[in-house]
Amino acid sequence: MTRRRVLELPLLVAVLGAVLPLSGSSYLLGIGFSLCCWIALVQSWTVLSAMAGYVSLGHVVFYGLGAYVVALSWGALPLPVILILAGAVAGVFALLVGLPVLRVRGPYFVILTFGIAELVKYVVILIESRLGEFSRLMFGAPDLPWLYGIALGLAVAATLGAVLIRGSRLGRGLLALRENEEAAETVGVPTTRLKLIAFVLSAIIPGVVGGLVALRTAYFEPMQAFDPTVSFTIVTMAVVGGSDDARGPLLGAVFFTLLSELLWARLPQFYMVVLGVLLIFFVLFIPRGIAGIMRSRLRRSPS
Amino acid sequence: MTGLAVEQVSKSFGGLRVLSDISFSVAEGETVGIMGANGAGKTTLFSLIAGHGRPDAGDIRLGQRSLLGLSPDRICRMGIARTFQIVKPFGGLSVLDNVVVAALYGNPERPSQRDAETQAASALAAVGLADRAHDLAETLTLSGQKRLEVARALGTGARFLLLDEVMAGLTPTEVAEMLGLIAAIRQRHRLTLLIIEHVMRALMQQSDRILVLHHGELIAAGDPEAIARDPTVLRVYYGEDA
Repeated sequence: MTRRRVLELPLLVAVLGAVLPLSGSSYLLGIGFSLCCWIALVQSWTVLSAMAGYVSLGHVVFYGLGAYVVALSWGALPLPVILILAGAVAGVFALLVGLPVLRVRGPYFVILTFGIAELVKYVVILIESRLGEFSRLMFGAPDLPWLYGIALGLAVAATLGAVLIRGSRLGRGLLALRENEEAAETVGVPTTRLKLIAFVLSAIIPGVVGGLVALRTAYFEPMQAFDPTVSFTIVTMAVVGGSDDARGPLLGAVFFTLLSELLWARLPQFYMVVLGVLLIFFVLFIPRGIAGIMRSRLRRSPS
Repeated sequence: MTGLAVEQVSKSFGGLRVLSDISFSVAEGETVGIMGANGAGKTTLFSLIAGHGRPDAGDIRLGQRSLLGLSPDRICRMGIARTFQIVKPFGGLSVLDNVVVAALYGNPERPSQRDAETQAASALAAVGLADRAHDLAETLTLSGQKRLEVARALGTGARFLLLDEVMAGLTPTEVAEMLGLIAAIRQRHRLTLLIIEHVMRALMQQSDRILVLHHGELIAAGDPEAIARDPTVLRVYYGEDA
């Protein structure tokens, strides 16, 4: 892959993202913030779930842990340290649970990740109720433009990371083990180590994103921070956009963020229904996602 | 690297004894064939050597170094690569990428991606798949996928190859091609080969020595001509009256 191709997508995100604040609309900036957060989440998720083929249905656990770290340390530490800590805690958690969890494959892995996220949610609820806290407010959180800037940085970093990893030695090993783990081992791929690295890499940015979203709402409450809908949305965005390359998550995130913006206002209860219907439709009829359709169109059209 | 030594290896799955007390060695540069009916334990033997599973008793050594307890990827980097009887291509990757992964990870010298691609391309050329390099591996015919297995093993840079029925299911023409191809790469890369094959003619023609497994026991070992005349082998293969 040429250098130009590597930088194309991250640059696109960065430029479009930098233009948005010029609109001066805080409504648009709010949408931009959540769009950047979703891009960062889905790109991170693909490192494990698209490249290595271990589909995580519990990525909210990293997001929730990041939010919890921020809620606990807000006011005690400077903002950059807090956000780095949020990512680090998510990464260390992935490292600790990774070894046992990554021993199972396919549907078992999917269910296990979902279960772990739920388990952690209830552990945090237990801890919070023992501490006598039912929700935490964070006073003096940075303004939206600041948060937006950080979210944009994460979206660019996650997109760049996904592109770089896919073309790297690590990415090649992950793709091989996704196709056939036993054959990958046989040709020298240290599968256990690679899976663990992918798991940790896919957890760090979601940890920071979770912390950022907590700051945006200035509020932490476990049911909300560990809401499984976040995990479902990540998977749906990746499926609808496609996850064969880094374009898919961008398309999926844009599509869903705009769609939910339209739906939340008019039909709030309808969101999950739409999520489900779209997921089924794409899995059945367009398994390669929007990016996949675009790719085959381009290939067919004479150039 | 020096030879491979299998010493008094036994393996059972549940109550079924698949290998009992197997001992043999393969010297560097030698080609040793393994024959035996289905269920004789041939593939299990390969799996144990390659690190997929551990013998219940005995030892497997490469030179002075025991391979027991090492992971398959480690054993590959020590210079032993296997092919699978039931082919396991990385179906969704290109034929070239299948071998690039092997060159990137199988070689302890950790080549750069560019070098790995060069090595992979030459391994593909050696098995006659150069023109399919950019097709998806899943689009290859069985014969193509068997060749890809060989190319991947070769691409790791290993000089000790375990070839598990790379000719099974091929047409006579394809078998002849595969024979020529293996003879050529064997000579060019000074390979040491351990071969499982049901195509008798192929096995006899290639091997310096043949081992015969029967119900998990090593019942005969010797050069191809001796094996073809061995009374025990004849009895097992053709019945009492032969």
